[in-house]
Amino acid sequence: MKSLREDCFNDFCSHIYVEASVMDHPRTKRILSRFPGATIVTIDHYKDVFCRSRQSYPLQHSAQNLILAQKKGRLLYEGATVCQSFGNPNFYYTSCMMNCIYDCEYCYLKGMYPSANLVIFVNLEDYFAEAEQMLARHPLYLCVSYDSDLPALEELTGYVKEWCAFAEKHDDLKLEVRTKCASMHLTEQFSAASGVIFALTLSPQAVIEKFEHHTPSLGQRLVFAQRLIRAGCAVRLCFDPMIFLPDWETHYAQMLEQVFAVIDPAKLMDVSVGTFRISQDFLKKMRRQEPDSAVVWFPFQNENGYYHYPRELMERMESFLIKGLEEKLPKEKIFQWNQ
Amino acid sequence: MIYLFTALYSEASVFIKGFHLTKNQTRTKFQEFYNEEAGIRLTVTGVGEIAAAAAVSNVCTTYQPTEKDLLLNVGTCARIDDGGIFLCNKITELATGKTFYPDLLYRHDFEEAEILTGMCPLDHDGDEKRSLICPDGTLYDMEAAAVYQAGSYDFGPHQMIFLKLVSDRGNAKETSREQIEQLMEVYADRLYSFVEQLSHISSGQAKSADGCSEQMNMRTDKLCADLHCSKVMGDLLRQYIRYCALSGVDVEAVVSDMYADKKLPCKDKKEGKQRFEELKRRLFQ
Repeated sequence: MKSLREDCFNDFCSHIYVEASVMDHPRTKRILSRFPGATIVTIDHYKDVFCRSRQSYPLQHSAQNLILAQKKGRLLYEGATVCQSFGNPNFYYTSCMMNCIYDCEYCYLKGMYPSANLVIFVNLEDYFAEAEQMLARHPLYLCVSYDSDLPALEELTGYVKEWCAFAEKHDDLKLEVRTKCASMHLTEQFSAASGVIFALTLSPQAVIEKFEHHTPSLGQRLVFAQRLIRAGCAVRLCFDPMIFLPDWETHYAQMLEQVFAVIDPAKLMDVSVGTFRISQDFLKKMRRQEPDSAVVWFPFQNENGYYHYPRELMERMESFLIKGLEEKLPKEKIFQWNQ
Repeated sequence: MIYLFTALYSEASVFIKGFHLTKNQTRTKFQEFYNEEAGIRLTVTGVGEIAAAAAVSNVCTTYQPTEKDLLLNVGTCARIDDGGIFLCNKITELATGKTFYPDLLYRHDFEEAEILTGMCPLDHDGDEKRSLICPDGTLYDMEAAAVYQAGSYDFGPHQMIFLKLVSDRGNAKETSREQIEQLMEVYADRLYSFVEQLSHISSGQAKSADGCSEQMNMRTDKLCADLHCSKVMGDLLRQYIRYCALSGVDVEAVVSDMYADKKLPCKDKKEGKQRFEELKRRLFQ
């Protein structure tokens, strides 16, 4: 018999909240058609549901619902200091979706958002328009999959494909699509658009099993990366965030072995390395929401409002991985988050 | 604990009978019935938003519910079209136009509907007038929005559940107390089984939250004393132990070794500081 807790939650997207203003939007209709059994609740504004006080992120994640809305106001934001620009000027990010179907215990979204429900903004054309306005002034390095995992929901939204098509038309635009997804059939759908970088987050299998719930295994992610490379896509491997485990050296060494057994390093665009770091406000919320998660209860060090592993450990972890990567890749292809 | 609120005694009697609730004689402002073993505390609020908000507030102030508890509002309501029993997924307060959305995280076998909460009964002459206020498919009551708003000081949207039974089509005055009791009896089995399900969920959450903190508190309090910890050291120690316990490090074994090596308890603060560093080293080896 299944435990009551496991069995008592509603299915994924049992309820879909739709802003009245986008009820007739073609994307809304298409998405709703994928959930014929869902209860549709009409709302005025997505924040009426998303920003309610005292929500439980973990419980909501067990019965995650969907909000379809229109994003108004500013749509592109300057990249945060804890994020990597990979040497690109004009580093921006955008969120046409909020939250993620994966459940990584260390994910900053748990500290940033008051709700675990997914929000999809259906007015993608407005994002394109704002990006074009910016492109008229200067080139743009735009990360489109930070506050969600766009490829993981590609079958539902088709957003990655649309961003790829947009990037094809703009030479000055460089897009980064970050993901932990490994849906093999997607590789056929993503065109090898110039200027689109698929950034795959990799972790040792032990970290995936302990902390990255419902995500593909390391092996699956590597096969996905390999297929993207074969399809002619630019692929970046992100060893970021590195997560401390008691035997972290063994786990990260094994991971590197596994990576380069599958991936030809010469075919990689670049790699990034960074240990876990997070704003103090986010961590405070995450600790409240996840009282039983080892990864967020690590005794971190606070420096200027950001928590990170104690400096000595942080440097040891990053140096260890960089040393391993340098055996396979030229130094200029290895990016460390704080350099 | 499930904090159950009904507006009328005739809505409450089915629960009092079914769960063998005892009247709390010490409560005078609102009638209260409880069964600690079943984890149910029922309060009869009286009719209307003010009464409902006052009762919820009173109960919350007295018992200070935690994140493991649930609030359940059960009562009768009006609906212009067919009757039935409904879980509310949207609550709108007519007086202010404010709308509230309780989370519906748990499986159930009820239909769902939106409910409007008004200050007066839906007692207009003619279906047309009633439909203007309460469109087809929508429920109408006099408490839900108030219960939600008063409850939201202590409960999250995932902890509040609103279950409504249709008793009339907007002619509440013609509905007698006996008719309401009969209606509640018709749905008694479904009500009992739903409350039992909620009770399991609530007690399940209570167990998982209590076990962890009690164990850790016992360990750290003794250690703090034996290490002569300052407040800052004590807080750090608590975090180390919490992290190690969650990571599967055998904290007991490390600490026991230090006692066996006569390194604990310490004689003073100076020695305590040295042993504190040693303990940290051993835990994070």
